[in-house]
Amino acid sequence: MNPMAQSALSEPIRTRSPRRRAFMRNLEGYLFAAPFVIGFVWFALGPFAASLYLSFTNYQMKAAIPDFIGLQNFQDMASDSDLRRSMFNTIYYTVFHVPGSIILAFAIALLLNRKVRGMAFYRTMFFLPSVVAGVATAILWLFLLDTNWGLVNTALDLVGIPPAPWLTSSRWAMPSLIMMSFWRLGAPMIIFLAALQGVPEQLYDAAEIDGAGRWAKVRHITIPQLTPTFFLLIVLNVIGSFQVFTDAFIVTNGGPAGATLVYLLHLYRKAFRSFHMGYGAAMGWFLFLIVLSLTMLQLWFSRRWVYYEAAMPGEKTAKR
Amino acid sequence: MATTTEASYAVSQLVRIHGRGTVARRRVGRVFVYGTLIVFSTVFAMPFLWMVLASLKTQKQILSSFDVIPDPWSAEGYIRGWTSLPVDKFIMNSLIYSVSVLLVVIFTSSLTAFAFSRLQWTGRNLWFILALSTMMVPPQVLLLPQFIFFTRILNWSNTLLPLILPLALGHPFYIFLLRQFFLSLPMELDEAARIDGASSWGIYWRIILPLAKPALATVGLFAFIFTWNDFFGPLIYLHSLDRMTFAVGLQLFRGQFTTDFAALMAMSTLSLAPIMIIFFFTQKTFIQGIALTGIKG
Amino acid sequence: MSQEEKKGKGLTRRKVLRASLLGGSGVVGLAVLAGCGETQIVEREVVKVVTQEVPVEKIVTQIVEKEVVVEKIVTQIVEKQVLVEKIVTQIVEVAPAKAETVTIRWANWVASGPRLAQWNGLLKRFTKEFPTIKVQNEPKPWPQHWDSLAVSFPAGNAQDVIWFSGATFLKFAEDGVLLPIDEFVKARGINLQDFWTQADVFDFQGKLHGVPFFHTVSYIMINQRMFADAGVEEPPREWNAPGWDWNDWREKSLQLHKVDSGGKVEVFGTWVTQAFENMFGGLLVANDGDVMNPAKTKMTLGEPKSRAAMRLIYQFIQEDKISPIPADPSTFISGAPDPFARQVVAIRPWSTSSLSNYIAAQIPFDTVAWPTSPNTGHTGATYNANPNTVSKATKFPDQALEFAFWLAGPEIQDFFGALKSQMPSHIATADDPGGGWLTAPPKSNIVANEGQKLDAANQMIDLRFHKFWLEWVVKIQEIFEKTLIGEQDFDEAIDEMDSEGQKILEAK
Repeated sequence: MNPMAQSALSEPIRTRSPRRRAFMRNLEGYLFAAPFVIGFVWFALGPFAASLYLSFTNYQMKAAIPDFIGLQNFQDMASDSDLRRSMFNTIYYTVFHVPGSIILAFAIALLLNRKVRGMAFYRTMFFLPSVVAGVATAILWLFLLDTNWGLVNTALDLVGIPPAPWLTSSRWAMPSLIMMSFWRLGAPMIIFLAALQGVPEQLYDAAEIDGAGRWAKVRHITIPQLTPTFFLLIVLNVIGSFQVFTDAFIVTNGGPAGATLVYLLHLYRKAFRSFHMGYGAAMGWFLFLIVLSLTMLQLWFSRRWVYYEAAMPGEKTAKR
Repeated sequence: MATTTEASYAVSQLVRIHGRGTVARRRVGRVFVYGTLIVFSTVFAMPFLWMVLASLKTQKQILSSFDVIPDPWSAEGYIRGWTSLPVDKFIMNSLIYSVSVLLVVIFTSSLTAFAFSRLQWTGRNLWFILALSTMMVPPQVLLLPQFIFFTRILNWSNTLLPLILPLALGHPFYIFLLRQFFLSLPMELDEAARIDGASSWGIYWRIILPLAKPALATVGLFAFIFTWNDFFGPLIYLHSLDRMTFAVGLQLFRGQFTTDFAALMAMSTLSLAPIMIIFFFTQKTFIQGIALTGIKG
Repeated sequence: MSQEEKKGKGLTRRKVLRASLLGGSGVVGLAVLAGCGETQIVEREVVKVVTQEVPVEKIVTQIVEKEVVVEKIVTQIVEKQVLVEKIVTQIVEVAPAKAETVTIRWANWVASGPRLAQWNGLLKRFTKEFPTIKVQNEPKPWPQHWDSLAVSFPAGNAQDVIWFSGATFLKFAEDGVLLPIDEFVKARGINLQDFWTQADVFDFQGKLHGVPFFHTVSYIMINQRMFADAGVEEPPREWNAPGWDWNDWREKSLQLHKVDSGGKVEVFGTWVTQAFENMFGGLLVANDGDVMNPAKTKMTLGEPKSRAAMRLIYQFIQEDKISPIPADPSTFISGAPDPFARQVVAIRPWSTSSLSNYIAAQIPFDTVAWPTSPNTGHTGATYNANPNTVSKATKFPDQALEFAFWLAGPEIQDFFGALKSQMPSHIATADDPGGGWLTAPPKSNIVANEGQKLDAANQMIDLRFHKFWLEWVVKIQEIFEKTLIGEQDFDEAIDEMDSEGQKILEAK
């Protein structure tokens, strides 16, 4: 924030003419949002537009500005069977990953929000796998899920359950991938933990006087108070899981027999392995449209269930 | 204000006295909590523990077995990792990248989030959706135009600038996170302050920021982790070894046919150290009972 | 100028220089050295004079004292002595443009990691040999090398010398971003027959685009301890030797396969996969089959000879059950503890690319030849050539090529040979028994992985030059994998491979 903006903002908005008031309000809004607005216009707008243009071209390495081919890429997408399959796989992943990881992260956050000695240590333990490098985790999964010698199958064998071909059958590969994703709950867990600090203690105290049990407190105080956070995580997780890539790339490499070929892996192979960068851009913008509509839907629905303390006058928010 | 605080104190005291009857139940509950914590944190920490143990194995053992325990225990990974590549330079570059982004992004993101949550202005929703939508285009698709933009138009080749600057001006993820947090603070705070003559800047600086400490710390943590582990950005924009960051540098132990896993695991373990330090300080801000007394009650 | 010549000259020059330094003009020499590029050339030529005439020393002194430009010196020298004149003319010829030190950038994924220090030493030797060329090493982690190239070429920011793998470089050659190097080769009189991966491998539309660097060849690795334990005779090391065909392979594998009392496999007899490279590509050629017709217009996997070769892999996995099922991720994460390194597989058909891993894992193994087909009596193998290429946009094509050919020369090739990390492309090095390398497979039976086949007449089927090679190979391997993990009927899968492959061949 520059000093000029500061001086403009340090004056509280005084009642003058309504138009002037509206102007001042808008100016203030833009000044506060300036870092993002400037960054967006300066750094993002050009490349975004260029990438959109790229989706109507055939990429060639010798030219920064490739040839325009109209809707050819999008027409090719319609007949790309791998694209359909990768979309199916991505939705499969999303349907299980989003609710699963949010519920699990919430449960862990509740557990980690208690006043227990050594909590810093436990929190670190839960958080760490999220930041461990991809290859290191990949090898661990090999070691756990190997069909013949893996620890999981050895354990199942001891209890008499027949071993499953975790990473070597198209039936089990995606469930394995989803399971792996639950080890990376660090981010949602931290966000929940931070949000839990914003829940006023008095609400719990009042509920306790009313004789509410632990579960009732979670159900009637914590969850309603955290609806903005749930909303945040659902939106972010949907965006993120439609772009799931790393595990499918490193651990399963899209296999076996294409069972974990997710959308972004297909895009990546097209753009960076077969060098159809224009086609990749077209795929990317198609994904953008899907995720944008899903997000808009969520924004619209959010009015019914997300409760904001700081609702503006005239704005809708869920009732408590 | 004072009276409500006292009242709530009295209430909590009452609850404490009231709850004393069930000491045995509490003890069972405590054992249960500790048990769950220990079991689950071990299960969750497995990848980390596995990596640390792997970093203490010999290259021979990592290649030839799935054993968990190093046999023999060896520091060869650390020695070879540290001596064969200019790791000290990698760390320095990563620190420049991460710390500069961390320091600026908390400020810029919170400013924008403040505009998106506590100010009313025309275009607010449009800009918010624009911000969100920048996350929906896969980064792979933007790589080429961005690279051409930064190297050809701005002429920033082999420097950290194209990585630091756009990010420092705020990332939609952090803005969204802070916006949601700011929205959960009661609007009465602002209204009371405005009646007392506070400007929007004053509200942002003196009321909202101090209340949002856990969220700000979270953003700082995420910004640090993101930049520290950023792989694609430095991979594309940095060319020479002396400019390389740690996240890319340590991947140089991966080869086409062989990977020096001992060194890779050792350096990966090493690269977690700063994250652990930052995490420790972040989680310290997560202490229940934020100073919101007096508003609700 | 050949390598040897240059080396010789460098040596004498250095020796003479040392002599002259001792002779008292040391300070002068240093002062000249410390000057710009032009003076460096002067020093070189002057030193030559020292061996012949004493008075030259005086001239050198003069130069330094007066600090005049070269042209002026020339005049001075000419004025003073006739004898030196000749040499002086040489200076004028050699000096322009080249005299300035240039820095060329080398994109690669080899000169890094634990080998960085050794490579830095090698690169230093190059700069000693070519004092006006500096090399900036720009390694990228494998396999993100391509990601970086895919954006740096269109942005005009690609490195000068770029290491490629055989398959990928074609798309780049096709897009016209790589420099054809025929003229340079002709001018230098480089004999491409000296290299395993010859001209034709890096040929694109009649023009050479790559300098040989290293390659990998199909081999079979055997666990010698398991052979000894089971009392099975080890297969021959020589290619096309009798007593080592597909039936022998199956028989030995069945003998080596070990299952414990609980039905759990202790040792797999062999380990086959869905891969084209180093796996069914070689089997197809051995059986006189192929993936497609020579004109590259029709897939031929469904034809009896091809189908029979493919069936062998299916039989090992799904019928005999003497091989781990594929899709095991440890097979494509480079350097992961794969089943052969963990010593649960007795016979591992693959390539020289795994050798360094197995050496590091310290397991008792050796390499043997691929078995022959019982139907044809000969064998088949694949190889994968990796060239260094030069970017068309480079400002220093001569220096870049100088470096690329130095990388193909004995110094680097010996280094590969000693490490056994990459198979040298230089035949003399690869075949050198002192280097301890392997017997290369007979040329008549080599198929390049990326689709190239050199038959007895040394003609090739250059599938590699098919635009969609990469898509094609990913697709057919994926379908093959489906039947190998038991999720599709074998014959159906082969038919699907043919039809899906056909679609890609016919795509625009």
